[in-house]
Amino acid sequence: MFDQLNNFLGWRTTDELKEDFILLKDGGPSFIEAPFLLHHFISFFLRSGHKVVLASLEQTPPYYVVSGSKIGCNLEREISEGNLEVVDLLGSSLDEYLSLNEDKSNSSTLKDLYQKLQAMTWKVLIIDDISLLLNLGHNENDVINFLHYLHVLSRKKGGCLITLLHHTVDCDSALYRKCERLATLTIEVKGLGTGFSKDVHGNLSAVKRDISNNASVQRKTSKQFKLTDRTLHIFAAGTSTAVL
Amino acid sequence: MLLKLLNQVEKPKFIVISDSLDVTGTTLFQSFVTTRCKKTVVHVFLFETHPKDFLTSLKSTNHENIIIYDFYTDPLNWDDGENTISKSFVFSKTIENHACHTDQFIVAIDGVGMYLNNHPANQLYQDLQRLKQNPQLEQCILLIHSDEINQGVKKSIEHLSNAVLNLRHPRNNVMVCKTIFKKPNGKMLQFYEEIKIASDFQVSAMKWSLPNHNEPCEPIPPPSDEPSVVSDLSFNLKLSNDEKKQRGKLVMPYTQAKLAVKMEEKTSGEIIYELDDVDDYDEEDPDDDLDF
Repeated sequence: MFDQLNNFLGWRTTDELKEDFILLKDGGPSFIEAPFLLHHFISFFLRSGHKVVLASLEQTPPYYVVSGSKIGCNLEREISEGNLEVVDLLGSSLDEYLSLNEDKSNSSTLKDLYQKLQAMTWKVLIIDDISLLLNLGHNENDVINFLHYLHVLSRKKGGCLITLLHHTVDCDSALYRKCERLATLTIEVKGLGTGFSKDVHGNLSAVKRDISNNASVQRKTSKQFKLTDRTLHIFAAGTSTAVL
Repeated sequence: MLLKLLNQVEKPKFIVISDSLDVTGTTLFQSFVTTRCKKTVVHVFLFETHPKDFLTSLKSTNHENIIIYDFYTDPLNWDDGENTISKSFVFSKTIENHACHTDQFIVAIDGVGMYLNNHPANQLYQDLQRLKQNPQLEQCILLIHSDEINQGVKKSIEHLSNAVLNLRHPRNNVMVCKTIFKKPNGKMLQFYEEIKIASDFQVSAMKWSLPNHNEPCEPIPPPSDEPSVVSDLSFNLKLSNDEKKQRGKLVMPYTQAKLAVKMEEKTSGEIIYELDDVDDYDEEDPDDDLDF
């Protein structure tokens, strides 16, 4: 878990968390990506005692176990204790979700997946990464419907839905726009415009949507960061230790 | 103009409220519903808000005249819900099928994103057109999100409307409503108003003038929640008030030199000759007797 990230977001415990949909995105270039945020949230919610369901499309479960161990979170123990449940969509996509049965439409497979997730007990649902459903052959409208239902479900359970969007997704696409509209907190990771730097890996910005304030719905905070194997250093722009 | 629309001094049949990610139109939409339900039955189609949350947000408003159609919880019948956006879904028919159908009614729709996700845009347009032509419809209020729908669809819906309220956010904590009102005689009026909506949905509006490009722009103050760059350092980079005053009094060395150069430039090209005692100054031109 990265404590500096919690400070940046203004959280100490999950009680201060009021967001019901957190969107993680990386804005390119490709040498810096957002999955480290996923590992942080998995660790953060597990440490706070919440049940987490991880629907993985991009990586296999052993990847998350190894990444979690680097930041001090034993995911194998959490899985054995029932605090974390991993739905390996990547592993089962060839057989089940590509729908070898021609009579079964793609939208019904997403409906089945929704009903499977609905039957589980969780407080936090993490999907890594929802745009990959498009690459698996699902219609964009069906994916948006699926996202809507998951959002309704997470609000019903009083929990939180977290998903990841990579920079490869077109920002004009309907799915991207829907995710931005639904998200109450968007965290974006972006590389430096000047290129790769050893001491400053990129910009980290958080946009909170507060619908109760009509005129200033979005509040943005932005800092720079350096990500090592086990830690995340966040600092104000231009104040990296290498510069000062 | 906005207050006239809210208080029904002007009664356009179809009002469209257009918002974006930066500024939300939900509260203005709720203001319209709150004012309308005092006198007429309002049929509210909810696609983006849970009915419980919607009614809770209306607080002390009388809910007797509000009929809610929940298309948020289960629009596609994945959970065997009541209201679904099936292929045969039509706004007018849904109202007609409702038992509490009255002579005159108002319709409020809180978004069309889910509708457009499952039906083509022309079907929405035809459905809204049919609704508008219903003689029992007193008014229809539609909230659309300009970031969510295509610009072509947005323009089609605005073309169908009699009043369009575009919400903008030019500066922090300032919400501006651009109202385009189409009069029955075909004339179009445009108004810019800065609006504030209180917690009880009371709206106040005052005329907002577009920024004059000849006037210097006001510096936009930085957002207060962004931390200062100098806050986390181990040494002090800030100036006290006395230090700022002393810095303001300091005259730069190049400034004096520049002033001196300017003074020299003013006197260049002029020769000042002071006559000596022995000089015999004759004002006559010595070449006057020459005849060329």
